[in-house]
Amino acid sequence: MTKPSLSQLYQSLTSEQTLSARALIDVDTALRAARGRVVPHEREEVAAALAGSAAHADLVQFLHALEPASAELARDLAHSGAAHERRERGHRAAQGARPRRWQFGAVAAGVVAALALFIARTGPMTHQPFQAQVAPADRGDEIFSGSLDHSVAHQAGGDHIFRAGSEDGNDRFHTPRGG
Amino acid sequence: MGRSNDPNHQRLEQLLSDYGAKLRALVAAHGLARHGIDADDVEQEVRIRLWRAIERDRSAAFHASYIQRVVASTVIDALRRAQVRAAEPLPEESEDGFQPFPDQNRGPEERASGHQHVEKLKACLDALPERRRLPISLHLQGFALQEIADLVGTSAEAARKLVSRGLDELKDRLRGIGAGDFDD
Repeated sequence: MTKPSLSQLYQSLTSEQTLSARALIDVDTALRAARGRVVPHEREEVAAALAGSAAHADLVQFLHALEPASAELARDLAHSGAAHERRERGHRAAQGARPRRWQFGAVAAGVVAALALFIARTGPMTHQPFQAQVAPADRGDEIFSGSLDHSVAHQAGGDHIFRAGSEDGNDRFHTPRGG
Repeated sequence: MGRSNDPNHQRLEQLLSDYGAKLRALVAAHGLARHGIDADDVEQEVRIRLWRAIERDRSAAFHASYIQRVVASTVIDALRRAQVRAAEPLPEESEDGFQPFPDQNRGPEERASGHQHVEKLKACLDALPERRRLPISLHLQGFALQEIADLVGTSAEAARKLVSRGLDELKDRLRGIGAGDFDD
């Protein structure tokens, strides 16, 4: 006849005390207990909670046993994430190259168009300065000669006024041509 | 290209699937089912939570501690739900609900005997000195000596002595009250 197991009896005793409303074990505490890193000031409470609740004890032991698998998954995910990042970078580079080629063509076409416009606009203007140089010269000559005549006549009057004033003392300022 | 054909997607699926299988096996091995935990539900929930986290940022580093946290929080949520379910009255007692340590194969006499043993064990444990009671209780909960040492804050050797002497004393006390002999 097999003897009854103390462990089974004890776990049966504590199985009803699952996670009460006053559960001492939260996620952080359970993880610390699973790693064997219980904070000293909570040690007594945590140990008592684990001793008194089969659910707490099973949870912590389960988490402890799961640690290697979680570490392996973390490593695999890191490797997979790095590979994903490399792929994404390559993908972005491949996608980015096409618009850049297209943009380069557009910029080149724009430069050519701007040059053509510049040439089209600057072509007639090359004659304008020549005409402008000639026309003012002609007109200038005419104006200058006219004004020169006028100036001469005026000067003559002026001279006359000046002379009149100095010779006979009459006020002949307002009759410049009177003499 | 569809996501199911995405090699990265497939790789993640495979990783989470492998991890889920280990998780499920450990849930079963550690007797969480007796607390109303469904291993398949836990696995699925953990995979969903991890998948969402990975989808949020594929380049993020997922440390083992983060994964453990996801699992711990999922299991604690499941334990609480199970506790709420257990507190709800059932139409036929134990017909559909889970039973801690199911003993369907045991007759009423055996059940009564088991209950008596539990009561005697409780009485004998309470009679033990305080410094031995906690290490023995942790031992009976299935913790290894090093784990007991970490939890109690002593060396593994000291924990071993406390457990060994405590067990001897506990068995003596049980014999003394006529409960018979017990295995560890």
